[in-house]
Amino acid sequence: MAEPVQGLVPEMTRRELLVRTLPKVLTLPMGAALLAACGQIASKAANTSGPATAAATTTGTTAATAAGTPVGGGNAIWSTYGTLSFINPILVSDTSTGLLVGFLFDPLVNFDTKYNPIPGLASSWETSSDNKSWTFHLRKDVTWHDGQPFTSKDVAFTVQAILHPTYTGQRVSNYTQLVGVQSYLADLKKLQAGLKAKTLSAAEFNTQTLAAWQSWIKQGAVETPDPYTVTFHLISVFAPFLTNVGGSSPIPEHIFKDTLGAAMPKSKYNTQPIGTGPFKYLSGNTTDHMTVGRYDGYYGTKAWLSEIITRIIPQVTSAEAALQSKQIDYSQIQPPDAARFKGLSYIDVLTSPTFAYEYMGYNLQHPLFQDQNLRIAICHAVPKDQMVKTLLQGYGEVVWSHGSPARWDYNPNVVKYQYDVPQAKSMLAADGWKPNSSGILEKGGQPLKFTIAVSQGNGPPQKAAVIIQESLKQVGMDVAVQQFDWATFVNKVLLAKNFDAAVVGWSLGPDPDSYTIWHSGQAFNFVSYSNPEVDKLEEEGRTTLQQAARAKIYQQIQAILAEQQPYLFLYSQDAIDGLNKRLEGPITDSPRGLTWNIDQWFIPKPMQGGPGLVAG
Amino acid sequence: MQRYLVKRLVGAVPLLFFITVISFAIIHLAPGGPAEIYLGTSANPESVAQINHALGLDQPIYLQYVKWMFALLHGNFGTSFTTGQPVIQDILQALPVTLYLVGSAFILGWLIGIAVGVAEALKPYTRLDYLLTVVSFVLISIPVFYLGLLLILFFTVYLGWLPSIGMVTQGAPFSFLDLARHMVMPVAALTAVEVGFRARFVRASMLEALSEDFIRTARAKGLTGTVVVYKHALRNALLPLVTLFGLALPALFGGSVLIENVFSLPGIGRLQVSAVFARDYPTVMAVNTIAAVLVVVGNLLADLMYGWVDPRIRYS
Repeated sequence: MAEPVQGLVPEMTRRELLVRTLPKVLTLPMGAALLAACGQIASKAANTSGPATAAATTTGTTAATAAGTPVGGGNAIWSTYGTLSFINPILVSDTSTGLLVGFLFDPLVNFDTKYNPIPGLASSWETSSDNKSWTFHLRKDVTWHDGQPFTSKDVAFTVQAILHPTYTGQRVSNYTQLVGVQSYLADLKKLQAGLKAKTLSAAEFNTQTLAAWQSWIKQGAVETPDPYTVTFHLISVFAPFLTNVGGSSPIPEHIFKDTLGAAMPKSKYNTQPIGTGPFKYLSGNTTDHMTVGRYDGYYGTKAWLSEIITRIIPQVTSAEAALQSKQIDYSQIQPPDAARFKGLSYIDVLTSPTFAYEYMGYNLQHPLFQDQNLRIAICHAVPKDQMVKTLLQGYGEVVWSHGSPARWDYNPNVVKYQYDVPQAKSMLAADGWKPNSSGILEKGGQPLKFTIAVSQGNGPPQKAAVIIQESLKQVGMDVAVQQFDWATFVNKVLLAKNFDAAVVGWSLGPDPDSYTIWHSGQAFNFVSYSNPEVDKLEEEGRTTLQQAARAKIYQQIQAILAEQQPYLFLYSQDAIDGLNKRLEGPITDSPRGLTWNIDQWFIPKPMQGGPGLVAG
Repeated sequence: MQRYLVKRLVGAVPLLFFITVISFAIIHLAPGGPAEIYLGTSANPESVAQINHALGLDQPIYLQYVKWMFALLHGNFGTSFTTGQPVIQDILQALPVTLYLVGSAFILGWLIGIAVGVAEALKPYTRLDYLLTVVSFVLISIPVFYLGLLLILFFTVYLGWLPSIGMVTQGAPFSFLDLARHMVMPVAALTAVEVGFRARFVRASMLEALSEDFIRTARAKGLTGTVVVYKHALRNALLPLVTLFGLALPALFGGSVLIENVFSLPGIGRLQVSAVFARDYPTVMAVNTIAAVLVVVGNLLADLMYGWVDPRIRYS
């Protein structure tokens, strides 16, 4: 089973998904929203030798404000666009809620802007000699926001809660490498089939699934020899483990022990959470604003800010106006508005590359697209540079293969089928395509005709689809564009493989594992790409722990993909963030996100009264 | 009168029933259920089945409807799929915001609309009339969310006079002045469209009334101009407009959805939009039902007002 550390991105909000502490973030399609699972943070395995090398190749800009001496106090007023849902690390599925989870919960292992692992709730960790077991040593001074001590029992409980038979979240796939989980899941599946076939009553089903769960727990895949040590036993070496499991945040056993499975979503502690993070829940609701305040019992350096008020502003335009008029301290900024905000003396505009990219995937089962020459000709015919310039106003980069230039596994030396219309035309002609009376290319009486599916909206993906359509018309292809609402697009078009070509995006997790996207027959391989060499490399990639060796494997995969063009790779967008200059501290934008170290930010005394007090 | 009221109330029951059936069917027919949307790309048949089972969505749709209706008749709107909290809690939080917004716009829209319409009708085909007519049409034509954005651009971004997000300043003590400052623009935007519509109707209706014989008679009796205009003409002119009372409510609720999103107000419209996107069926159904009840009651009130304004009308 694979890790869906990736997500589909229909619109241009990639950045908020890179919220701290979330192994995965997936957003409801609210407004300009996206549906993106976001994996966390790459790293080398803990037992590899040598110093922790800087991993990411690129980070973003740093706030220009000269940081003075930190002082306590003041409320930072943040903004996000989506209504909040379950503020619970194992249930959260959207980026807005993920932001709050990041303020309130700490992960076992944290990651810096360059994706080096740094201690979180675990002060150290190591793997066994066969690399199949991971032991985390927990800090002894961590307390939950209600004052209860945090122990290894909470960590084990969190895993049990995720694997509970009626668990309603989406984290199960992170734990399938644990000892016994795959056969336990197979048992559940059998029982479900039995329920469906009515050979089992609902009551029998419930008892038997619970019994299966309990017997999995007894197998001891997660061991807690003492309150501050927890060991995970895996069935094989699994490189993304530190990112996916180490990078996730535990939930408190004493709060949730009676609300497991289907009962958990109804707990009031999902809206009034109790976490371990530098900020604790104070007040607010899920539709208007949520206020978190400094937690004075925090194990690390206490936060400087007294409070963070997160306001829910559904329209980006409204949030931008609120930032410009000094009502809030932060808003994401749309590319066309970046220049205006750069002209404001009291706003810092920060940018960062992201781990997201857009592409047009070909349905490789479609007879037309089985021809690699045709796919290469299309790549020659489409002006990717122009997309970056016009759609992203230059805030992005052209990509030629899977991944984005900010990643540590990025391969800059892949084949690049540059924009070259005559080359595209001659390739098509050499392939036997001849224009018919209406100028459309034909071969054997079949016109070169297909439809591009795209999600509904008016953002870069939709515009990219139109640019592709127009460009391909120039070389004689008859291309239509069809829009679908997001739910239909994902479930009935992409995953159902019911399309010719589709413009969509991936928001990648920091771990380079792309098994679920490129390995034959995997869930997100909806283009039906199948290459035994890539299959083998994907398998090697997830079982190799050394970062340098892994980078080589994934670079090889990128080289093959760039050559074979299962996607028309388009571009990777940058994140653009606007920040009121009264906020000071070590503020750096990176694919990691802006708020990951917000506990180290502060507001100088004279400006603590509100964003309006900033000079300029 | 009482019999009429009873008759109307009884008649409203099947109407509301059909509204709920149709809403229920439409939201369940929309592609992608809550499980698919919640799970997103990690949706596999097993986890979708598991969540649907947990939410009771694996039962036949008519059974789900019956259960929903049964709970509703016991005053229970169910539990939100996205927050896990009772839906009624979210609604009670959001409803006052929307009622405040819609109520203010409704009252102001009528008052200003009548004033403008009367002013036009009293001096028809003059410069004032043409000017107000043009303004009315402009207000009718501008989409309400666009007007809201224009107001924000001018009064918030350029002038810096008014806040543009939420009901109150967060982190500051509550004051009515603060509330009023937050609500000026959303109410103004929603009122503007209302004023445009009302003014056009009042003008036409008033012009017609002013040309009636009884007005000439009233003037001939030597009544003052004010009495003629406001007691005789206006009362008669308003008569056909009362029907619009009921029709105006759904339009206002629709406008409120947009305005709440532009001004980030935590009202029913916002709640509904996010609930629809998340396929949060219980919330969607609760909001639809409440909106339907409000509209049906609004229409009934409009009909009753008919009798108050026009004594010739008898209810039977």
